[in-house]
Amino acid sequence: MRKINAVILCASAMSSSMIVEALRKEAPKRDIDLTVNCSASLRYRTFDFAGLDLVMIAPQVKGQMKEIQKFAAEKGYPDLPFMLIPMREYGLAKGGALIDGMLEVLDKAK
Amino acid sequence: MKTNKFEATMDKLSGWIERYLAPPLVKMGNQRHFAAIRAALIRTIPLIIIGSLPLILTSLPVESLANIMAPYAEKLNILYAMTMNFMTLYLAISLGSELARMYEELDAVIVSIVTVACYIITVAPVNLADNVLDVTGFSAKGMFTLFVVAVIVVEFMHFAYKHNIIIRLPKSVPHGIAQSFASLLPMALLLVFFWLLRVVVGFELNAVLNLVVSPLLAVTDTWYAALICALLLQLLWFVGIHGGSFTVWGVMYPFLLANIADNAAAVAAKEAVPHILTEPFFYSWTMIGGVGMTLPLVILWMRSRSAHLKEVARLSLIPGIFCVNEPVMFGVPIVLNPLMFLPFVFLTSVLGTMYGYILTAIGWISPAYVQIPWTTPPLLQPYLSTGGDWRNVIAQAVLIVLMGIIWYPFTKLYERRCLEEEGGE
Repeated sequence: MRKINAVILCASAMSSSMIVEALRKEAPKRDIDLTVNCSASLRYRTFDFAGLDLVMIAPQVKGQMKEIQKFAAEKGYPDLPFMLIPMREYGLAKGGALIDGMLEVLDKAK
Repeated sequence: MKTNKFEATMDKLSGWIERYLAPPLVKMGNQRHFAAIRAALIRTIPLIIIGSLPLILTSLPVESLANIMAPYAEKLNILYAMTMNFMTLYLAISLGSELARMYEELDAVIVSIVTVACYIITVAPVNLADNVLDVTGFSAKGMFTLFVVAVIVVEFMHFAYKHNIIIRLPKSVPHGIAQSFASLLPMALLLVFFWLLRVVVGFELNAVLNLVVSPLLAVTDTWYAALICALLLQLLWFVGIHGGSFTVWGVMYPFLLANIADNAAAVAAKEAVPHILTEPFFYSWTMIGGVGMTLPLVILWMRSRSAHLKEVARLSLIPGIFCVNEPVMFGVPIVLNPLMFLPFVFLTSVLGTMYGYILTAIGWISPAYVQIPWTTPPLLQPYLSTGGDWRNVIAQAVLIVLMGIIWYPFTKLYERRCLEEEGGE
């Protein structure tokens, strides 16, 4: 079983909570032990990146991605993979497609 | 063929928004002091929500009920006064710690304490003769002063650490103890600075800032501010950027809070409510079910013949009721969809904003004075935020129907397109 620890960031952690649910539902079907939470992107300075495998960014806050990536690097996680969630998959909360995307980003980062 | 030309123009336009309009706004929104202020404000909102509830009880719209409550009014208003009227004091705690997070070496609690101390000295130096504090500066009237004080505090503390204007103890001293001494010197310098400014020189920063801010406050309560706000909100969301972070929640947020605090104070004093634009205003008249008034849109598509639209609509209904509409925005999608440009940017939220503004201005409906969670469902939102004015509920119901009528032809147009695609597969 593959272990993945991820976080999803959107503007106020409202819509991303729907994605969290979709992912949690999908993960066991794919034999993935997934820990995933959501958070408000505005408060990224309070995040603890320790133990994270992947940071997922909601499409509407893509403007903050670079900023957050830079911050993660400053905190000592320059190689932490980031993934911009495709607009359509985010809107339709497509758990399967999202997990495919996550695995792709993670495998590329290895 | 005509449609294609239209779509090409739309594409060009959205490209222009993405290239020229969005980047400076995003850059401003990401500016760290602004972002910290926004984050700090959002964290104090629950207290403001709780604080305005007693006001509903002391100003019930039905006279017989109001008379029953009258004897308890004074006591209940203390609950309001100690929360809403002290909001900037609580904000100082929140802002100090948010700003401190910008710099690794700063301790959030210590920066919070210093911020609160410097802010109190500035807005409410104690009168030792009778041991009295003037607390007006703790209300929204001291908010802009707090912004200035807090930024000075945190930047100076950072500067002090960087340039070694601190008391350093030998390495053998435990970190916690060393930390408490380290902050002593910058802390003292800051307190003395604000003390000198306010007590010795007698410079009233709060009065001066309020003088500077009051024209801004007036400008941010006009129909054109509402219009610009709604337009930017829609344009940014159209290209998929969370527009609220730069408009309603960004630049406007402190002003909207100051306005609603002012409105609440007027209600507590049984005076006419002065301001139209507040946060609940935008959620009642600009974003019914989210930006672009997508709730009527979702309802129209609930029984769509297009499997795709039906799926999106079913997925979006519940979040839409709570004003979250990313599923519609990205699922349909509305974002960058040329067919949706006209209704989304000009015919829905912008019209609704003007509708709400005009009706309030001519006195047909009431302005909001109760801060409520932005996720409060439609119809309840205008009811609760105005302390129970039925006219606002009716006006919103009318607007929802109107928006449904405006969305209707566009839903049909897009449905046809989706059906063609689905049939072709």
